[in-house]
Amino acid sequence: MSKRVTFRSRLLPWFLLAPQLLVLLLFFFWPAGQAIVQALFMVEPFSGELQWVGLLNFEQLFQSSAYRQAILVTIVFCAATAALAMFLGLFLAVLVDRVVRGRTVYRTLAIWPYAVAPAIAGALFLFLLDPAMGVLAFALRQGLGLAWDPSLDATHATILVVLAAAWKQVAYNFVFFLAGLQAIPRILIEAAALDGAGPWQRSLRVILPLLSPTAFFLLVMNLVYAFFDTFGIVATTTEGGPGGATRILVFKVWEDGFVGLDLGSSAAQSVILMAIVVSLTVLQFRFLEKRVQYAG
Amino acid sequence: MRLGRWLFAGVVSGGLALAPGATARADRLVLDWWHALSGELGAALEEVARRFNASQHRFELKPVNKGNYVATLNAAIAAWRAKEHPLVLMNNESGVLTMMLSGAIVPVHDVLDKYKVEVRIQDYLRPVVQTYTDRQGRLLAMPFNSSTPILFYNKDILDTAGIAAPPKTWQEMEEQIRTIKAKGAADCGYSFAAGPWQELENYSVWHDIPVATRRNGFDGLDAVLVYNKTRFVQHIERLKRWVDEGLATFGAAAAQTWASAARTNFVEGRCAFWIDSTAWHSTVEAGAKMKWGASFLPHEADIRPNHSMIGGAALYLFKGFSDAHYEGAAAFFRFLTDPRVQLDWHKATGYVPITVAAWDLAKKEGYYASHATRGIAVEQLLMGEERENSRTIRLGNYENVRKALTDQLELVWAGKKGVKEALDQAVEDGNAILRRFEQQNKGKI
Repeated sequence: MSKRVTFRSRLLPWFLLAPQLLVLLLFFFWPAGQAIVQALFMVEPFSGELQWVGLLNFEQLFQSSAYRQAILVTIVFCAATAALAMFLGLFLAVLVDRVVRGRTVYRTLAIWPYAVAPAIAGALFLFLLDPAMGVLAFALRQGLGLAWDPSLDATHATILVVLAAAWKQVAYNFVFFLAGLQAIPRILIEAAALDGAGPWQRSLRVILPLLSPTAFFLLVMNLVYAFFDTFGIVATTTEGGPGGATRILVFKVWEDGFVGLDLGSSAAQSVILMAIVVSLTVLQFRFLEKRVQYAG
Repeated sequence: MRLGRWLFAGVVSGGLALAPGATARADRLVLDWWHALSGELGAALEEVARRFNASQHRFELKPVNKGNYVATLNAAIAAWRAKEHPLVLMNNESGVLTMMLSGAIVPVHDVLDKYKVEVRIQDYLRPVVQTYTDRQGRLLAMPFNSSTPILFYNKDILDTAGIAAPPKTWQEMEEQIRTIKAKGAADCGYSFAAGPWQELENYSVWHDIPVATRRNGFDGLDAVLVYNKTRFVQHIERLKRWVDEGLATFGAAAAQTWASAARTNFVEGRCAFWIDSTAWHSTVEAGAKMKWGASFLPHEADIRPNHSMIGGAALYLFKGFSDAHYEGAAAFFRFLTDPRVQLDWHKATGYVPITVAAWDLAKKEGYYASHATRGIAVEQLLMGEERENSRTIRLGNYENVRKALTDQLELVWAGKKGVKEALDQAVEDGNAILRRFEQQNKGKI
């Protein structure tokens, strides 16, 4: 099936790969290796002096109720963010796919939020949902009579960070879903219609299965995004509060490392975070990928 | 906000570079100073540096803003590891132990002794100096900006309620808030953010109640938090009761952006009382439309208060520079303790002057006749005497220890946890942080 290109020299492919490998080595493998080493030590912040503690950093993390809370918070946050961002992305893509006139305009508009940095996205939503002066907060209070207060209410705070995180990622999902939709051959849909399948059945039986590679790819990307890139959103909005309700793992890594100057524990937390994401991705490929249909 | 600060820093440094005479001359030794003040405070700091540079011709002090305290400290740590650190680093009061045990600093007293800058501790505001002295009473860092919380009150609301004077005790404060509510003078009594500095540390020091054992950590790294067993528990229970009865309004301490809620509620005239740093004076002066006043922190009716504790920062000297650099630093510190410099700093920023001489000068010049409430903080720091639990709070990785308390208190205000249960958890989490710090720094003091 697959095409294979063969090089005559065995060195040439390595040579061609070298720039990319070098970048990976320098900016991923080396720091990751450092984190794994540091996780086994207590680290003096100024001198960088290491004190061997074995697995103590990990032990203490799992004994700490704050850390266990952060794991739970992260699971809820990532699942909600990925689900919301993917649903909205798909929804918009379906709408734009049906539009005939002005498609480029809609498409361009829907892509914009992706260009916004997470910290700015956080600041925007903070502004909209600030209990004292936010426009949306005002609408919630006046319109729904809801005592909106993300500074004290854990659920409100979670909604705030999930909204900001998802909003930013919708654009990304939209682009891929739209491309996926447009790649579906018209002929298949028309054939299904001729066979008597209604719009609902066509979406469920034809379009969705053909969209599954895109959806699968996006699931992986969205989860990775939610785990790592959302630091800026939490940092500019809730700072992990109230009562730790939005303290996601990546924020805690920063807080313990840079505010608390506990670099050993911070490194151990990075390692755990890395392990979680790696295993999630492996699981996704092993189990979910089987349901994905790649062939067009 | 961050962007604003960078822009501001850029404009200031750009402006300085263009200003005639401000460029470093070849014959002047440049002294780098990394600091954490921005906005108006940053401008006041730049002014201090400019005046020092104008006062002599050998040294050129060069202040650089590196963001807030956390960012500045992290920048300095990275710079120290890369051997590109500044001579002078500004770090806040919660980081004393970190700096003391860093192995990267020259104790300020060494430099002051060597270059014959006489610092007599009794000439200073005691709680200011004590925050930065070692166990022998010698200065580790030069106190720079210091403040302390005081009680601000809305005079209009008190007048409407027929209350002649602000409360002296927490018990009086409760009665007054009840009167205010009964008379319909205001809906909001006490506006608070429950910052650990205001509600835990100053409450405890003011009443000579321990926050931790070993004189709040001053005597050793093995100190254990005990605030879940002191009068502080009743204080938080009272606040919680006030919240439930509508006598107090919580103003969010979670995010930097929301932390202003308690302040805004007071400054905009909605609340009768508010406790926060005396350094907020200029904000209140600029923003308040109502008549307002300030007074000493309330105390428990059955306890004679001692003195409050400071917040703020001090200047540390890094190792690795030539004698001439340290001579420059000594000259700067001598300049800094000049009463005139201190008084102008006090006026420009609302921080307290660090010497008694500057306080006397302010009184002599009649500064407090026009700015009566700005002297309260100084008086409050000069009160009382040296007591077991009033010296300072010196605990490791203290920012995170504070955070453990803030986390739990938010659960209390939200009604999700009982006071005792929450404080027990905060102490447990805080002690875990302290034990890690102790292990990491075993044998250093």
